[in-house]
Amino acid sequence: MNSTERMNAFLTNNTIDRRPFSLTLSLFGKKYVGADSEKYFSDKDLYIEGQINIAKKIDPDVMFTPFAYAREAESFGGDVIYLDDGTPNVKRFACADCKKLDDFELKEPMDYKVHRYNLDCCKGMVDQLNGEKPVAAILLSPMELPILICSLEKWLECLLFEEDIYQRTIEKTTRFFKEYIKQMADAGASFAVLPMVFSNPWIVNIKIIRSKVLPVLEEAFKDSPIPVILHHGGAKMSHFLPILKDISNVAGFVLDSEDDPILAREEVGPDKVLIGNIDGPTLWKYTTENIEGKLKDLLKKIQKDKLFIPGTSGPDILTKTSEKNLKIFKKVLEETV
Amino acid sequence: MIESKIQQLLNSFLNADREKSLNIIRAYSKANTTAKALNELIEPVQEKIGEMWEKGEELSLAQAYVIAKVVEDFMFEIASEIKVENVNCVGTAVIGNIMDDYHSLGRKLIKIFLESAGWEIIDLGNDVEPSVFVDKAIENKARIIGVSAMMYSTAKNIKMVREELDKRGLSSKIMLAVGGAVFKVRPSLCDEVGGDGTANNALLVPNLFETLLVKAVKGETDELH
Repeated sequence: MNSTERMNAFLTNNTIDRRPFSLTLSLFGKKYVGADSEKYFSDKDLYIEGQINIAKKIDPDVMFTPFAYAREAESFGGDVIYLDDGTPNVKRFACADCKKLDDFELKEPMDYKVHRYNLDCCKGMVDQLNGEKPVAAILLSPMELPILICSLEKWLECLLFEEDIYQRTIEKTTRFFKEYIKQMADAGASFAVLPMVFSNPWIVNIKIIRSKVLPVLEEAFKDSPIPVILHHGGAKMSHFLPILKDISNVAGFVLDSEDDPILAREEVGPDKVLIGNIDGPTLWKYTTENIEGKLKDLLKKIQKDKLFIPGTSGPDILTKTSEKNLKIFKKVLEETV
Repeated sequence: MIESKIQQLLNSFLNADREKSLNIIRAYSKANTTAKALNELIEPVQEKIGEMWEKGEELSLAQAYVIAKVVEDFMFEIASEIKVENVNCVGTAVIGNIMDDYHSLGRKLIKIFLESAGWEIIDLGNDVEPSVFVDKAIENKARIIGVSAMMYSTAKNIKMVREELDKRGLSSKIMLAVGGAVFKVRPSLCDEVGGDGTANNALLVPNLFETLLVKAVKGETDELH
């Protein structure tokens, strides 16, 4: 069974050879091509080569397009720093003040070099993987995109205190998102993964989420050509799954490592896919035996869960993580049919 | 009477209503005094929010942001009076975002809450070298260094501040407070980077700094003996 067949069978409750797994290995590919972060996240051939190596050596059941949002901030006019073993980080945003969002012209996705690069990576991975593994497009929703233009702080200020600018900005980012996800789908992405910041009650209170955020997500996702998976964005999400689960085209959620998988299932109901739950960025710190233990514990908890895809949560797995610590996922899953 | 005002302000904060919150404070300040508005109204509300946290009731970043903005607006309006009232500052602290970190929101929030609690804050801004934190703490006789980081990849750099303090033999005299989004989701990170303490939200930071100040003073006294 290849990953696509396994995933399709798993999602439709048919017989599988083993449970699929998902590891966030966007950054990790640079280890195989010997490039620095800046080059890796701007040269599509290097990115694709890195990911194909991951597919061959570690064999996860989902592959990801570049997970490097800061580069989008750069293309919008900001400055970025590149870290040795981490995703790029925004140093300066294009708009220093949320009032300037009105003057900011958000062009078409393909007018930006980095979005073209992301799309080319998606196309190249789909081509080279020959349909054997699903490729997930990593995108930002219209609610999160402005963070890359003016920072979390200024966008929060806009959401809270500048209603008119907020509405006009959301119109622009929704148009942008709809076009971008369509292009990713046309390029062969099987689904989209979107980190959630502004639908997280740790960031915004539920009243505001209901009145301002959910309508934006509903409008953005309702015509999506591919299913959407919402990523926890760095905070526990079990308790707020009920407010997100009914948004159109949301097929599932990537949980935080602090979430209780059983509670999450109770909260979300039986029909949504749940993914992840072992902390990805700290995998390097553990022995392979530790990770094997963590995965077996997780598998025990989700034994009866027919729509749980084990794997990593949080941001990218660091390149200093040993290959052995990643290969153990497949080995354990093969042994635990 | 005051209890109902406290509740009114608390509700208004929790609804993230900046204008209404500020009007409640202004009205109380006008009917009483600025000092009373700070001591009888704002401080108890901040305490109540702290208690809510301890009980596990969550406060969103948006709510903390609105509270900080309201406190900042009010402090700005009464700046001249505050200077007279706060001649005896609680202590001096140096704060900043660690090298390679540019996420300043948390740092700005804690600065507002610390200043409103009577701290003198030396804000070093973003992307601060570990040695600069220590240099500036010595220069300003600060007993606390507060270092913020949003992501795991940058939080790891905080360890270098701890190493710098150890290297200069200052670890018992200057306390290292650490914070930022990543510490909330990875509580063990505080120990990992050598922090002396962390707080779950900006409103709890003044309490943390006071506790650390006591430790720093005790550390120095113990060393003298």
